[in-house]
Amino acid sequence: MNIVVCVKRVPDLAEAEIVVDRSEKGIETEDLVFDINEWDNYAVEEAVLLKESIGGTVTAISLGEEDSEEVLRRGLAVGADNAILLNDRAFDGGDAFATAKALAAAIERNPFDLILTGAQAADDGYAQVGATLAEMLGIPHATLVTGLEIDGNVARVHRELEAGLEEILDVRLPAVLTIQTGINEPRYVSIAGIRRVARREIEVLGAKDLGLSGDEVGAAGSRLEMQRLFVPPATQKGEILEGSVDVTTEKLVSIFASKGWLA
Amino acid sequence: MDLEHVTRQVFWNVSLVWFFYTLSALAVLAFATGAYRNVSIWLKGWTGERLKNVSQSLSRVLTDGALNRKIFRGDFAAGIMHLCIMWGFIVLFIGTVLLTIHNDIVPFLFGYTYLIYSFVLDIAGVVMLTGVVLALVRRYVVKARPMHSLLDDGVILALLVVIGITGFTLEGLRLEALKPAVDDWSPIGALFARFLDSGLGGAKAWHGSLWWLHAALSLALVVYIPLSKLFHMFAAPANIYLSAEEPAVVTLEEREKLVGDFNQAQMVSLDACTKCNRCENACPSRASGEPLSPRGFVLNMKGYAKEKYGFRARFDARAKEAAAASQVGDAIEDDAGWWCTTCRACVEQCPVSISPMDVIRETRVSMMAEGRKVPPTIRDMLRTMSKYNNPWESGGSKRAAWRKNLEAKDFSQGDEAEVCYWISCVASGDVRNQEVAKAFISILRHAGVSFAHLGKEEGCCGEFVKRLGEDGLFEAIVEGNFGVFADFGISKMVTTSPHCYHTMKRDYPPLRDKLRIENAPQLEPKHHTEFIAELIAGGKLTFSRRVEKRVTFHDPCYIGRHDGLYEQPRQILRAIPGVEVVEMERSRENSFCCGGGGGRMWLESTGDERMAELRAREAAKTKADILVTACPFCMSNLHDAVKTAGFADVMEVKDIAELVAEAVVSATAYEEV
Repeated sequence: MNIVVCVKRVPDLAEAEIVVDRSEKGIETEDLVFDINEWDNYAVEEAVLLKESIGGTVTAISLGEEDSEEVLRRGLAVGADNAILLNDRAFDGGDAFATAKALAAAIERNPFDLILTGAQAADDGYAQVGATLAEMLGIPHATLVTGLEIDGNVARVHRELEAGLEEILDVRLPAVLTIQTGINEPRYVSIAGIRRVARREIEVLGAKDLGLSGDEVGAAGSRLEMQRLFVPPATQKGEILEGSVDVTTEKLVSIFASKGWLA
Repeated sequence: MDLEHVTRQVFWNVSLVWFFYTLSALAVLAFATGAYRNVSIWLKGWTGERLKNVSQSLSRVLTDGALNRKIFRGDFAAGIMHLCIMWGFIVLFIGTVLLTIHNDIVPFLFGYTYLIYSFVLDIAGVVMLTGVVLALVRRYVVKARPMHSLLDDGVILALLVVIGITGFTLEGLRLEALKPAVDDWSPIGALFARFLDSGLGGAKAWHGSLWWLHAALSLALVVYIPLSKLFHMFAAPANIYLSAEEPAVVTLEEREKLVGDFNQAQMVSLDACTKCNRCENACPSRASGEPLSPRGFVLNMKGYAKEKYGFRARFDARAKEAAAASQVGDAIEDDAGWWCTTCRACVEQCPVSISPMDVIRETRVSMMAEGRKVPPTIRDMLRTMSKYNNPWESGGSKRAAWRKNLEAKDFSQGDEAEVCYWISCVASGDVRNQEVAKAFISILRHAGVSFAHLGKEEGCCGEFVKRLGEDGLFEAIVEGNFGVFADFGISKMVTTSPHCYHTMKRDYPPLRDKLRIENAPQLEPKHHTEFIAELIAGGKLTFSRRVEKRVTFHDPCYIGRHDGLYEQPRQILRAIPGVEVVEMERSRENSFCCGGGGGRMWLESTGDERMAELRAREAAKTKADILVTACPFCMSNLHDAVKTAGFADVMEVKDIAELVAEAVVSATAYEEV
């Protein structure tokens, strides 16, 4: 089974102090720490687990600048066989559609049975690349996958729904599956593991190598245009009344009275 | 009577002597093959490192090997037992070799030489049998200590007993049949002869068949040696020799060139294990009901090594393939590799210098590289660590802010000082331990020490990263820290964490040289107990208040067993006016770990009761008002445990620095910090 897994390098935003840059279309990244997108981390693990159980190859692919090599190398350390970096100035500023276009062109170059992506990216959170990619390649897809078994040319897929429901789908391969966190327990990638693959080659491709023109990819090939990125103004804090029921009731009444709502 | 011609007629009454020689040759061949297998596995761990102090290592072989020093420790009867078996066996073996020389090469056992020979061997036989009987009684009757007796433990003892008794019986039968003019000088043989005289006729006929039984069992024993724990007779002294020095630090780069999963001393140590179970009995994780057994772990790895590097893997194609693919992680059940707190109690106990702790850490290194079997909590902490250079928070801004509030000098703000106070991650992030840092700073101020901390430049020392086996990350941390030390010209260092202290003292210097870190200063790290004891001895601290408390000291593993600082904390406590020091049942080298070392702060206990709770109970038995420690992990764990075990009303947990600060500093000055 030939498995392709799409990965993205994103800043770790959970506890970072975020500063919007002057263009108001991006954030200051100097003091931020970057890592593999968390959802993609699970996707890579799932791809390698599949390879370990049923055999085949895993190709990790990323669209980004040279720095993105580190997330690809991480994928190699986990157990991917090949890594491809789509790096070209022409790709800059692309939305999910333009990104999927470049990925699809790169993936189509070789035979594939299964494509895994993270359910979404931690930075822009579009959750569109997987579905768009499937559409461009003309194959089925399933999103938010929390469990996966392969039986011949069918993928049996578990999906997490709202209200605690879970559904099981059979998806004909080849297909795109977008992976939800928690589908597995991603293995630890040690410095020794990264060093072991330090000399493995990462194939770098540009728009021309993929037979794409400059206006099909990047900002030019995008259907969305970012207008403004900003930190929304903080809304007023709620007030918590403390004390016994009598006391809080009294306080509440006096607040209502002060607002003139009891008139 | 002609004493000069007294001798033994070797092979008296034995027919088919050629057959015996053939059997012997086969036995020796089998022994050599087995021994070759074992030693060739040892060599898979060859790192090229040589011992620095050979005479010290040899003297350790003498005391711990020849004299069984550590077997006697805490169990005198066991020492006597082993010494008897060992020396009885050695003398009997030498006797057999001498007899072979006498019979086949140069006859020399005549007259008094023979008589003395005969006497010494008789005594050796009794000594060995005494030891074996003691062993049988201890193992199967009185069950002197918890042990796991397997079939081979019994087989070995049974073989020795039967060989010993048949030997004496043969001697008795021979004396009975030949009635020599001089009864050799074989008091025991003579005793057997007299006994046999009264009961058995046809001594010669009996002798003939019994001789073959004795010979066959003896040869079987020879064959069995390399296949069983008996091989410890070679592996144990070899391991005592190789382990007399702490194992050399192996860098990631060096490791890539190594063949085996373990270094040479560790490979040898796997064969040196005699399953005495002392390590398991001392293991705090085990005591708390967790599934770790240091002994079990070592034996498991021995099995793994034999399968991976043994004969089958070399000659059988399918086994070869399986061995090539097998990884340490596959041989370890569940989380067994991660329970170890690296407290060193097992190392302290092992009579033959095995370090189950290092064997476990070594498997962690392999499991880290494989990545699959790293527990999620540890995996996530290490990811945080590699991104943010500390195990808890992301930005490090919180701790920098807290350090700023200390109003102490700060190297990162351009201040200068003689000594660097390395605060540590725990004391920067954990509220209870922040108090310890404040107390220690007040002491430094009181003593007029010129000190500063590293402020926002202080990251993590990486100690638990090293214990967890993520050596690559540890090397990166060490390089980064040496860079910081070089930037601020720091060499004198004091810290309130035994873990930071130990790693900077033991792990940093060899890495500094091996990684060829340029401009890195020579570090002189001190633990605060060491530092305060020196201040007191130098008259720099004057105690102005009495602390009327009964206290007991919990020796943190990483200053105690790992670094031998047993006296300093006790000197400090005795120096504080009013303090009464009582010892717990287990103290100093027998101290019982709180459960915080070796990365265990990031792995939840699955035992019946936490290690720290067991320790809190032990401390409460001393009726101490204060359980004193000198380690932030001990503080966190014991502080919790005293509450959860229900002693919060009767016993407090304090760092030794807090006690000192109370006694030296005026109340207002202390508050100011």
